Amino acid sequence: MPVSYEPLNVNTDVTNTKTILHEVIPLTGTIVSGTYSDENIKNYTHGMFQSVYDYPYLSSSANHIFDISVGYDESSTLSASTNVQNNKKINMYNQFAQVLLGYTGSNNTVRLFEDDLLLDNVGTMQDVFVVSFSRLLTKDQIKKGTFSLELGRGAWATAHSTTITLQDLKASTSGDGTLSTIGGDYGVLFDSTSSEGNNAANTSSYGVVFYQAGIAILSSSIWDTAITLPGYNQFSSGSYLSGGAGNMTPLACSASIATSSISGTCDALRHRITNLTFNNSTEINSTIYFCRLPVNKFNYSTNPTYTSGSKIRVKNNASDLPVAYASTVGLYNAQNELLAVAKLSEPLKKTPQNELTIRVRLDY
Amino acid sequence: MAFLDNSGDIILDAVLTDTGRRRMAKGNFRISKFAIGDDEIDYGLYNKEHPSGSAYYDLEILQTPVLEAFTQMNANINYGLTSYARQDLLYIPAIELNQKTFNSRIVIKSAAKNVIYLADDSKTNAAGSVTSKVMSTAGGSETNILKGSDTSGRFVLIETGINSSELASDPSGQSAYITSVGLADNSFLVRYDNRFIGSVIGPSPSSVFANSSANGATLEVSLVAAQNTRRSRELSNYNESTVNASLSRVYAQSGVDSADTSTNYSAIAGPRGVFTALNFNIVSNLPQSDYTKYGTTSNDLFADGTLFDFIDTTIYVQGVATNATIQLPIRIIKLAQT
Repeated sequence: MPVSYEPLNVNTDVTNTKTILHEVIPLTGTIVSGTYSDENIKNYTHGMFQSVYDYPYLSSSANHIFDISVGYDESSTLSASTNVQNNKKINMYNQFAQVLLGYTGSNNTVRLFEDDLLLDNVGTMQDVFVVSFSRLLTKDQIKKGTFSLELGRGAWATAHSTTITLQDLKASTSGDGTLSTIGGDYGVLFDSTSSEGNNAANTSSYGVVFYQAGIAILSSSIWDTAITLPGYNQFSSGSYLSGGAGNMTPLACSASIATSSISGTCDALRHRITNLTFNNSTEINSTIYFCRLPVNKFNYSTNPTYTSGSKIRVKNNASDLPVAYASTVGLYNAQNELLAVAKLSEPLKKTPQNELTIRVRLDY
Repeated sequence: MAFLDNSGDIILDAVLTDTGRRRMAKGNFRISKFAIGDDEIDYGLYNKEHPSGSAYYDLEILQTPVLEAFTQMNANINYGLTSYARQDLLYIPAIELNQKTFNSRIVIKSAAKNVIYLADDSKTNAAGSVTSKVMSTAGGSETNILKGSDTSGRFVLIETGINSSELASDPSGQSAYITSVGLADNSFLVRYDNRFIGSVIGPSPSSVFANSSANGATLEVSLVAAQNTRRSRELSNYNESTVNASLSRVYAQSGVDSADTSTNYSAIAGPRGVFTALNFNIVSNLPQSDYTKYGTTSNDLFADGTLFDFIDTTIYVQGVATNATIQLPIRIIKLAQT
């Protein structure tokens, strides 16, 4: 039951601010594949995607970090009715395409993902891996220009002997190098080591990242058979695919997407994630209350220990200055309801010789 | 709640209270004022005799660990820093419960139970005797018993003033330490649990508490309904009402042996401030289930075989000008249902 209230002037004592916080999110490949013997990988009976946790998912300590899925457009050369989960792969592609890109407006045709910023049907990615990150990691959005994904490009057994690092090299927080669609801003993922440099969309670009949605679309061409790679035809192990559908010989990427289950192909992708890092962004809107304790106020206390026999303990004579110690700030509405409380880590001395301004920030 | 880390810079740990979250959900979260609390501080640790000098007087106070913020609205600032116009106050009025026996209308706290009984006389025994009557015959002293809703019987007498014999309790002392420095309350806020107490009865403005060498003490109190009753924003389930306060006219009077006789009537040793008187209306037909849920039932309180049901509650009385607060332990009591 506080006894003295001091009004807050909304013009001079209250201000609103916005702060963008960034966190670095580093994910090593061993968490995604290896450390927990896949006990942190959750597959579903519908088999349309696979969830990755940072700890065995049956534990209450586990956090969901991202999902992986595979899909292709029905116009893809990989699409065939005889494929395992053919409809589901098409559905997955369409779902992400319609949410992130929308429709062309004619014939209700969904737009196709492209490996550039221009939605002009040049450089389309018709067979893709989709990595959709949990909001726990991306918070409000992935910070532009910070996304980096290193993938193994070797044969299954030596997947990380050759790697490619995909980065949104041309994107910047100012918005340069990105474009907006209905799914938010997106940037192109380039091969950071390509001798063709950063500007060669369609030749050294292998996907796009949607910042607000927290989704990376990776082209299957990363493991394209046209690229001379030591293990291009051994994208997946062939000997073990958790999705079943056992082709017991090593598969190229395209063959894996076409003929293996979604979860089996996701296993193969996980096996090739070497490192993944990005910065997330959190927008914090704050209201700051400047609680001003002027020289002539809050110098006494109603604390029962403040007096002894009605005499103020901190004084010897009437001319001594009163002293009080503040440990708590209570913020109230006009009806005297306590809406927020701030506690000081140590008491602050208040006398008629000093004036205190306690800055209380409430974040939303 | 844990303590805050006080090993480095001063930090501020802020949380919304449950009321704040509710207001935010309803879209009417509007902070318009603040108050400062010091609940953790023990001013008894202020050592004015510290051998190392004045810089060390408050060393222990400044090292007081502070708890993290609570989210309950009534658990954060029970006492607070306050402002008085003058900075040269050496004494602050205390608030005291008058336990003197010079007047038969003053109720006194039971020494054995440390409570004031508030009898629900709507309950009778088989012989038709009301609760307060049965209590007094069962072993409870009448002086400890308030009769609910009784405007002509006993009341709680509360006084403020400088409770120090260092100062003379004469009119000049009252003027110097009370009235001229703005520390004479003109009313009191009474906070009570609205589940058990229906309303408060306080003194009329014309009430008198005075003394004279010839006639001793005069205590004339007419009890009337309290005013401005509203829901307390600071205590859950509590209402608050305003009751009148009147200036005490009890001053030092020399008796036959030159001793001050005014202390026979007043609970305040020094200059007196104001007084008020209280009685309470128990909630009409307070259900038996409340006694079961919040209190004690069928208790042989006076060890004579008579059984009572009772609920203990606390009433807060706060001076409007001095902010001095007293807690009254009230035991709402009735004959046990048989």
